[in-house]
Amino acid sequence: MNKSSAAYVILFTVGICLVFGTGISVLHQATQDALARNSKLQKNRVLCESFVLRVEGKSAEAYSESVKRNLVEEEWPTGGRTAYRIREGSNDRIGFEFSGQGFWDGIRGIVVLQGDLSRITGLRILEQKETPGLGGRIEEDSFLRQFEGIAPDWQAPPMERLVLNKGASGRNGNRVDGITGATQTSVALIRMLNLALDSVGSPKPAPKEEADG
Amino acid sequence: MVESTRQTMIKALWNENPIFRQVLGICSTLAVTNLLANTLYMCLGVVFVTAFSNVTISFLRNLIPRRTRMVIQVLIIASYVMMADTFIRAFAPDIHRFIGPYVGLIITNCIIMGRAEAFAASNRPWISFVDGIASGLGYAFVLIAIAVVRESMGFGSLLGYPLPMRDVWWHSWTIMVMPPGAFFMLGIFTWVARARMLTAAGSEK
Repeated sequence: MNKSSAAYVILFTVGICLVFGTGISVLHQATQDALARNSKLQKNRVLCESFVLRVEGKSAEAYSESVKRNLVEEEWPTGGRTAYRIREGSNDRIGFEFSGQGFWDGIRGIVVLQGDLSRITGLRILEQKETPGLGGRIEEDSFLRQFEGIAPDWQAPPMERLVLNKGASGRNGNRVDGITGATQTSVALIRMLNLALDSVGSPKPAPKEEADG
Repeated sequence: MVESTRQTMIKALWNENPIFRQVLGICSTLAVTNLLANTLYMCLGVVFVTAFSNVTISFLRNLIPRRTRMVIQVLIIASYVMMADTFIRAFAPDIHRFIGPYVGLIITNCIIMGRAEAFAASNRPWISFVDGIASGLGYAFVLIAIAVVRESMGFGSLLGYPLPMRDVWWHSWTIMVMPPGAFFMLGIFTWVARARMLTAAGSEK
């Protein structure tokens, strides 16, 4: 067959696509279990970090065990959300998964608040695909730690309960600093946190079942 | 003229090194070299993709339609990149969280397309494989050299292990953790390498 003919070009291209497409599919299928395990480990690790749970070791089992031992999973009455609650005497904290569109792709994370929702006690990112070195810095400790102790302004309009404090030297109340060079990612993160807080609404949940870890 | 395996290796590793001679693959050089472990995985990915895309394109060189050869080459390269990406995501998830976006960008790494078009498309499979490995290694050794300096100066560690008596003598060079640190190191490395080349060329005359 003439290599320049349209039929040859089409047949060859389709053949190559089939061969390599099959190879990728087979590899993807073969790694499904490992990917699922990694995803579960990541979620448990982020839960442990955001709730500052004690973990005996660094294995997947250790994180899973810590989540099972310390956290109770509840269905939150508003917003159809699953909440994670820890009860340590008066230190009652509750965490929610949040998600939304970042600058490039989706961002998912866990935000932990005091039981009365008055202050944020922890924030960690489960998944993000922002620009490395810029928006990707939202998962760095130096950025996330500033959320600890922040008090959402529940009297403010829904999208202003947390406010991005662009360029200000100090921060107080409900204000947090963005990341220089990644304004869109910072704005997107604050927007999705405000949406999550808004959907949380009034807190009166009842414990239902233990987290499966 | 048909090149020997040794000539091909030397050319790709030093005389025509992709980083400091051809100035290719700079994006990932700047981005992933602040930690040695990230760098090693990135280098493994590039060596794998360069070698196997080269050998595949070489095997198919007489069958690939000339008019669509670049489309086919990109398809082959992208397939190997996706395989490398899936492998790292499955077996080194922590590394993938940091270098994941750059693994995807291997597709656009000029080194790979350059070797496919300039070498593999007109040479036999074995020598194309050697060229792919050597080009990948030429990229890798520069990145590893930069990463060793950046991680030890920026974090006081190597592969995550603290340097000996770090508390006594080490002080963090924050700039080495940030992208400008890679610019400085790449500039210094290129300067030294090219100076050595010029010296060697001068003494030969």
